[in-house]
Amino acid sequence: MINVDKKILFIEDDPDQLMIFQTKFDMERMFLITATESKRAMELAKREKPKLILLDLILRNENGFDILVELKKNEQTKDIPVIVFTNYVSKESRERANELGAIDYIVKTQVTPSEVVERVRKIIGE
Amino acid sequence: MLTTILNMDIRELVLIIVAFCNFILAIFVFLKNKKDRINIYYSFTALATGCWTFGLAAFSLSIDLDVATFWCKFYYVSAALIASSFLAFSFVFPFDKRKLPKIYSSLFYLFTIFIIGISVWPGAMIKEIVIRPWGKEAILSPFYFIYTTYFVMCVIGAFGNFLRKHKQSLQNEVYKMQIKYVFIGTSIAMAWGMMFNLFLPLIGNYKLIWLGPYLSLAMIGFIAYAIFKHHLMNIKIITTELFGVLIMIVVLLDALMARSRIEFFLKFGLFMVVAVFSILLIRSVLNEVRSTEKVVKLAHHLEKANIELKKLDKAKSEFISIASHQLRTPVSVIKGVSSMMKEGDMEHFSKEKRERFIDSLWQKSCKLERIIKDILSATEMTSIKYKAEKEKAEPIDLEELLKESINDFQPAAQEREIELSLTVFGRPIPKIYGEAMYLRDAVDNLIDNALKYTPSLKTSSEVRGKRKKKGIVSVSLTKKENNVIISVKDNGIGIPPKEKANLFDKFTRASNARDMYTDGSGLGLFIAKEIVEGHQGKIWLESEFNKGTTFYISLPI
Repeated sequence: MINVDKKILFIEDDPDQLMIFQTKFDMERMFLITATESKRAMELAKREKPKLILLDLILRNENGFDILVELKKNEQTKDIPVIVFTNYVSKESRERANELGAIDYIVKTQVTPSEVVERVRKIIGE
Repeated sequence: MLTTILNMDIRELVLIIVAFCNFILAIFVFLKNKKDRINIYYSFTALATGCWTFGLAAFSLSIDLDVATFWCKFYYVSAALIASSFLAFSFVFPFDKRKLPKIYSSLFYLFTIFIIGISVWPGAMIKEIVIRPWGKEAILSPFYFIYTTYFVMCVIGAFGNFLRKHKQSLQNEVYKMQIKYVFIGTSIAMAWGMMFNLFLPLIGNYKLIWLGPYLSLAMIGFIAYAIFKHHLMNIKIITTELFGVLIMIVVLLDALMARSRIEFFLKFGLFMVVAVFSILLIRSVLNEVRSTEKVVKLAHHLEKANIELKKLDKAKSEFISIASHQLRTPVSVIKGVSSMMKEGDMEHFSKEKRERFIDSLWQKSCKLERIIKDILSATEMTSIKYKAEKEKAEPIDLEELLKESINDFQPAAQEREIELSLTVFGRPIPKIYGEAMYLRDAVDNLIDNALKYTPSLKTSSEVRGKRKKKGIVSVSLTKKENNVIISVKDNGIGIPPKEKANLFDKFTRASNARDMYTDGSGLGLFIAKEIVEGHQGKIWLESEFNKGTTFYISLPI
């Protein structure tokens, strides 16, 4: 059974990556919800109260940091742990993510979907 | 001549030395740059000051009353010219900004001519010269009030100019410093000179007029220092020359005043030796200053080059971050899918899902190849200048090319609620010869940028702020003389004025675009420029910060 109490929100705009992770999380019986842009992401974060958010930085129309700021500003969402999950690597962006309150910074190419599932499991305490 | 010299008191001697120093400075500054108006007006001021000082000495020395009257007129005219040339100087120093309306300058010239007129006209301002126990004195008519007014007016006008320019200089520390020096030097000298030579005679005290010029050297010296302030080293030469010449004059005068022939020859010999050594000294200082200036210049160049390198380095690391993101994105999908294959996940998939996964592998491999090609072609364009090849050139229908490009961008534009359209003026647009694939690339880059930097209505972001107006990107095509002009206009974030110039450089992004984290390589405009120039065309932009940008491509028919 999929544990509906432990939702994970994945904010990502690349359909292929959405497909891969949706499939993998489904297989692992974890509840993954997805959003491709900030408005939908905020809506889901507030309504679904996910246990964890995986956030991409470079979205087609937007900057992931803006979403992170908004998440941390909002009373309802500020306590949800956020992992920056991106392929954008620079010292500055790592520092910025840390400053804005992200709990981790994962570079996509450095992990496999199984490893992501493992890390998420550890954080949400499964 | 000899009797005149022999009659000379220390007072006149000092006046003559001061006068000569003024002449030397006038000539020196003039020769330094004959075309610069700053130097010309300065030399005028110094020359007039020298004449005035010399006139005063000659007046004091002359025995004949007619001769005295001549010198008296001479120094009054000179003094008036000090004031007017100083005013003129204040208009061009340290920078030339305000042009006086013609009517004012004409009135000023008339006034100056009038002042010179009353100074030289027999009996007009200078009624007569009388001999008092302390020396000669000029009896002045009420015209002298007008003369004083003129002088004071010029000085106030000049100081007003300097004060205004000091305010306008804002960040320019060199200008501020220059104005400060002129201000200090002239206010001391003018106050002193006006006191003894303008106001005291006004109340009938003529005893101390010979004191006036003493501080004129301060004024002339300070101004010279200020002019050369931007390469401070030169002051060393000026000082050395000034002292060298001063010593030479003193020694020469001493020789001229010799009482016997032997003494004269001895002293004249000394003068020659002093002259030779002075010249040698000046030369060596000149050499030293020149080499120091060279070193300073080199250091300055090095500093500049260093700043440029740092900038390039920063841009490069930024480019690497973005390019590596572009490269990693397909790789992360390929790696993700293949890892799932390896772990046996695929075996549980339906046929459709399996196909979908394999297709993503294929798509991402193609994308990876395209990105690598882009980066390589940009790198190649840096090492070899791109040029459209004649054999590959074909007639291109630009309207068709633009239509295709706009069609391809339409989904992206719609997603961001941006209106993307094409307008063609003055059909038929003649075909141009070139490589369509490349030109399309250039146009795509411009449209892609316009869409990227025109924020969408539905998103509000920390960086971009909330959009109030609908995004519009309009592309136009028109023929102008022998060129075809393509413009891509957006109402996006615009480009900060300072950054327009090097926007076409490799890896460059405007600072306000940098914060947006859009996925560009920072190579788009560089590639576009190379392609357009490879077709003998031109590319440029007009932009208003926060209002929007228009890029233009002009291609010869």
